[in-house]
Amino acid sequence: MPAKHILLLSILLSGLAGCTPKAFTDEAGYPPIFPDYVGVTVPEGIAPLTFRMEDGRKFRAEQRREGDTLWTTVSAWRRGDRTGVRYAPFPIVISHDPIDPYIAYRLIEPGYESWRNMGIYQRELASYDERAVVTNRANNLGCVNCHTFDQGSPERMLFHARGEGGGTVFVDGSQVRIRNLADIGPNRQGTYPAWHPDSRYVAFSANTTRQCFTIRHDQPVEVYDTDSDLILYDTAVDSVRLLVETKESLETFPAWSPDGKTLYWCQAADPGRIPASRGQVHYRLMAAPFEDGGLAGEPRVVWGDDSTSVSFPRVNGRWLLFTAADFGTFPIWHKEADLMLLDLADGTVRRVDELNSDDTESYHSWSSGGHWVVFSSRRIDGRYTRLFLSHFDGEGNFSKPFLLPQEDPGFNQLRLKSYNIPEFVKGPVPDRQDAIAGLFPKKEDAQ
Amino acid sequence: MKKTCYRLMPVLLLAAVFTAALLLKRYTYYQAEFFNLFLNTPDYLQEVLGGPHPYRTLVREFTLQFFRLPGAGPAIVALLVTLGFLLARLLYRLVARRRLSCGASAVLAALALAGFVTAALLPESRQRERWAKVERASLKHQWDKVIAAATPKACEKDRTLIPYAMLAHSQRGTLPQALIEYPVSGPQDLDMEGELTRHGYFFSSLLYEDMGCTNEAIHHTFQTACTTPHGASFGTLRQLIKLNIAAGNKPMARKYCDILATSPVNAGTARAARRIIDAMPAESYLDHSASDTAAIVSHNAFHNLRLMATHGYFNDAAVDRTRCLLLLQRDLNNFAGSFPPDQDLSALPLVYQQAFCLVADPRIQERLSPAIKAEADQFMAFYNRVRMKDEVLGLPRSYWAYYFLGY
Repeated sequence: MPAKHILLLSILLSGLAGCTPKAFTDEAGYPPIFPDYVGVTVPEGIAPLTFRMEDGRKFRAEQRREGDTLWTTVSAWRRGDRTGVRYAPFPIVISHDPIDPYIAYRLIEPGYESWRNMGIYQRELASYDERAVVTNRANNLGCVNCHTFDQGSPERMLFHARGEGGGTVFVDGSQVRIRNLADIGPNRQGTYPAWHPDSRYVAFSANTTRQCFTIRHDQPVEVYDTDSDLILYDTAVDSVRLLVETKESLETFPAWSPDGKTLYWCQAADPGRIPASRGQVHYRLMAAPFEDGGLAGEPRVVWGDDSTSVSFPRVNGRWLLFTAADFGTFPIWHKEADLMLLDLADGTVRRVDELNSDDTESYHSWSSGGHWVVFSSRRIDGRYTRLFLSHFDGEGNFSKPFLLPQEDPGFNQLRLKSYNIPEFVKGPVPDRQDAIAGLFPKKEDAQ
Repeated sequence: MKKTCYRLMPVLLLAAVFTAALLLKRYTYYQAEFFNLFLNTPDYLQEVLGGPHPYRTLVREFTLQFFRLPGAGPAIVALLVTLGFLLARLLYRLVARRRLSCGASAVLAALALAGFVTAALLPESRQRERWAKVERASLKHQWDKVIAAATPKACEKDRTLIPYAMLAHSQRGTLPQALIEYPVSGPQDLDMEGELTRHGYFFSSLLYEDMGCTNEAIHHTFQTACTTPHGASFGTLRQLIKLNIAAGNKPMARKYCDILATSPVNAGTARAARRIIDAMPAESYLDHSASDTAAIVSHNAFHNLRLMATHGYFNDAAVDRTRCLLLLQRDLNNFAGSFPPDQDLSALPLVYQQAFCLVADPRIQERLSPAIKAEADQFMAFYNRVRMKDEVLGLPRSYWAYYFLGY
């Protein structure tokens, strides 16, 4: 099925318009194509990987499958050429390691202070089908953000909806409810969530977030926290309590170990006078045992120093993937931000060069089986975040990442929105737009 | 004869509405196109088709893209009014089973024209047209046109024009004098930083572009885009192309070109921009290190101007604007400190000389011309005698009057 898909589409895309040259000269190198799918590893069943020549030439692609490798031979030419170029066949490795069938993400303009239309969407990986989970038409063009699914379950999710009547929206099957977390606990709103593996608790950071703008071209925006703590929401009794609170430190980005016995988070000493001092804000990776709804031991520093700031810790067995920037807590606006991998068994950390680029790498999620990772990167144009997938071999190695395939490869260029917070989901998320819209007062001008 | 009259009426109506639209609504139509969007991209089509009134929106936005062409807006509107007229005539014919008489037809046409003109002459329409005119002229850096539209008298009636007048004078190098020629009542009249609306963001984007701070101009262009129904518009895309070219950011400029190229009317603009982008050097702007030393820019134009100065983003217009803001804040020490110590004070604009008269520094006082000192003495004598705002206002406008009494 996947091979058939890939073959069919590649042929369809093979620049059928115009005359094909009768002769081709062989070129030893691989073809310069966009997206770069040369030598990537893809999951069985993924939508066809469509591409075009980087320089816009017409092309033809022929594919043959040998075992689990799909060999693609690209021949390219310009209009009117009598002779084209035939490149060396490049491999696409097909992996049988399972991947969750959907990815959910938010689409939003990568703007500064305001937004217009945004929404949380789901994309089926076996096709190009993208559907809204909820858009901000539901809450009168307010913000919808920080979606998370209970262990990837499409039936159980939460997200924040800001604006009038806003709060945290919990979806559990057909039940949809909104809670203002500040009203049922220590006056803290939830920000970054992490659903505990036993499904009962959700840890949130509670951040007071601000932003500022810079004159320099290369980093237009800086987002920072002036205060942040960790809180715990208990879904069983609908209550919130403080989990980690210190006056002198900022705590954020909670994450659970797969067994739920360890809570990880990022913590930085507050130097005061942020944002002027924001260059001194370096978040370290912290951990503490968790038992019976509370921390059961002293927090310890897992990793960190005064030259790197850690964001988005995500655990997969003995491996912990995180984003590292030079400072601060919002790496998407840091071009130097890269992904790093920590081996929890021996404490070693390495920059994941096979995933990183010259531009920003930021949010990332493991698939439920731990064989795949999806991460956001600004490597295509420097501002509009796109999603890349990579195979993980379980031994600390990733395959060359590949751009989430689209029916038309030019779509990545034409889309005026960024992808935020990609999360794997185990199935299609039911349409709850109307039910969620019912939680908010209706405003005509928001349509 | 009757037949000719019957046939001629729509043509006359078309010509009359076109002329009226050209005279009364031309700039409104240009700006309508600026804030409109119609793209042949999957996202755009999905958004429109999934939104309320999809077909009406599609037709309206498709049509509005042509308003960019000179005369097209008035022509299309005239055509629509005429079609309405013809439709009314047709309906009459179907209902009454006879043609409308020539006289009645003329009355109907006159009513249609009168309706259009009346609507165009409503105060809100006139204000919208005035704004559109100064916005468009500023966008095109037609400063003489801005100054002609935003005269001191016009600004007295509509104070929202003052920032545009000040921007134009700032680009012309005549800002100091404009401070006293216009009804400027304080620093807030020089910008629209607190105006978190489409007009405010649009103005700020132009202001920072003209002050030489591209990053902040892009910021406010994004903000402007967010006030439009699709979060982007033809005008903001064109601006983003221009600003990213200025910033040397080829990937972003190219991306916006690709998007704009999917609009039939804008494809030519996109092609022309692509040629410029292709001729640009490689991405030399890219500096991927994070920096905490870069200045913070918030909604405070004065603060921003000073930060721009310390980061080398300063042109003559920005220098003048900073000094004028200092004057409006009555901060004479910093104003005086912004000049080199050997500055020839008599060569400065009159307003600056008037301000220097108020600086209590003997080294400055001795460098002032006797004439300006005499004028200052005269003003002070008068002011000390009357200390009444109304009477002082009878004097020619001066920085002294602003300093002591405001306007």
